[in-house]
Amino acid sequence: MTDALLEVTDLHKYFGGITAVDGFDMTVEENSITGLIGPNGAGKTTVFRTISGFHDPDDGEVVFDGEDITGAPIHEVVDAGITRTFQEARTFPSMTVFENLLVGRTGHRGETLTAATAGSRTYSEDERAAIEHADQLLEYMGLEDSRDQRADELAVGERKLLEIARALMTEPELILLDEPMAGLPADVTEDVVEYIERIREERDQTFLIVEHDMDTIMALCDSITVMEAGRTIASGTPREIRNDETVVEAYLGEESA
Amino acid sequence: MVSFDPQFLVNGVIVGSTIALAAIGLTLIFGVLDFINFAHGEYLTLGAYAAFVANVTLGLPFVVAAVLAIPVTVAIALALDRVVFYPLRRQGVGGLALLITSVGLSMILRNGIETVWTSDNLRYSISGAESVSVLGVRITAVQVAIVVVSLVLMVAIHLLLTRTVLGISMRATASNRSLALSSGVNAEGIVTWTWVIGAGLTAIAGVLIGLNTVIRPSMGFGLLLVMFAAVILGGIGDPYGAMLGGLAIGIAQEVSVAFISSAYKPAVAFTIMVVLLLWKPEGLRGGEA
Repeated sequence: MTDALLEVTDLHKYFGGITAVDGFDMTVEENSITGLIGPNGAGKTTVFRTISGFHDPDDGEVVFDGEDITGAPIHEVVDAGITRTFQEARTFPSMTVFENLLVGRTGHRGETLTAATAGSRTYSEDERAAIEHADQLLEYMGLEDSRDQRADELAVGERKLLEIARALMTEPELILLDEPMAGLPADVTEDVVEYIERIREERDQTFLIVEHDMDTIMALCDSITVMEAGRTIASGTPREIRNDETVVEAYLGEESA
Repeated sequence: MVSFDPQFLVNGVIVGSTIALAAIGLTLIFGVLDFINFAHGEYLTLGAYAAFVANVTLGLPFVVAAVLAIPVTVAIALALDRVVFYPLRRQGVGGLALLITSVGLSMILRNGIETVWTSDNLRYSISGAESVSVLGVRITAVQVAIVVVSLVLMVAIHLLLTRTVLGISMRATASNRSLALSSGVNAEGIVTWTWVIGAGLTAIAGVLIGLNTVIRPSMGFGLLLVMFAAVILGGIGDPYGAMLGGLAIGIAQEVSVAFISSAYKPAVAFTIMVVLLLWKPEGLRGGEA
């Protein structure tokens, strides 16, 4: 066995007569920051949505931590340890920062199977633990002063950090970031990059990132998978990808042309 | 010109607080399940009849009967969800198809109730209907109880929505479903709790309305459009808006009686709704949900 945390094999997804994903393969190593790139319409979003349970694949397999989660409903994927963020920092706008973190934190994730089935953790114990966890994360992400502010009152960078905090609340092993830098000013991008690296190191997290900002991807990722027209065309270190002719032709060439 | 009689205002608060309860149920179900449940009025009627059966047919004390109406109505609502709405939801059927389905369900329930209990006006067996006069306003002990129960339930709903993970998750699901799912919310779990709370509140509203007026098969359907007006007034999907909207519509309807024929009560509700939709389509509270 390798130390692959996520293994996607021969994934297919069709919408009516359109083939969105056509035999996609990828591996995400534990504790890595892995990038998924490709030209517009390559199927990156569909891959993301399929891994996170928003789509049922038509064929192929998604194995996470040795467990087959192909086609599992979203909350089961979250319970298995995968959560995702969305483009443009989605939050629950009219709820406070603190409330944003508490969403969904009841009785879904007993620490062990016995604790969950024996009912030894009561509802209120669950809630207390969630509240404590939320406050710890707010402090970790430097959001403690905004705790009782409404999410829509936050600056764009704080909203992004709140979204990452919300993802961490689910106690994931793998966080899927969907274009985390889209629409962010340069100084905020730096902040987010720092947080991602810090979280990977201090909290032992693995990240899978779809991102258009090539500089960020090349600097941040240990490993990159490139897709085009629904399939994997290359994967390797940023250095290998930069020098891969197929990739340059399919993607980077198009960008710089 | 006669001076304004505060009696109308008091009547408005009584009617408005019951409408508010039922409207909270309607708006919560809309927010979380993303469809307008036309059968919501019949859930209100079912609550009133469940209490009637317990109170008059079985001879139980009224308060016991009123409390029993909650689990009975909730059980029916959950069974209907399982049999009617859940299979459609699983196939990914959209809000419009669910709405049409609920129109049919509404007719079936209303006519079913009429078949069993006829269209006669029924009343609970309860004392406390004698009115006392306070500062020139006639009010009965029952009416005071109606307002108190409604207000207590509204406070309880507020606490549920802001102080519990369940309530926060319900608001989150109504606000942004896919983000809530990605936070680990179990969609079907939240749907079940929404029916429990929404149908439970509506059952109580039905009992209180039956208490204040009469019990009849069309009572819920007759109020459905008023509830819609309350929900729209408050901003669709916003439980606090539904509370405000319910009270505002109830008061406006009853106060209008001072100026125009009481036959125009529903027209008052609709005029308010249409004007508001034209002027502020996001509702009085402006997208606070």
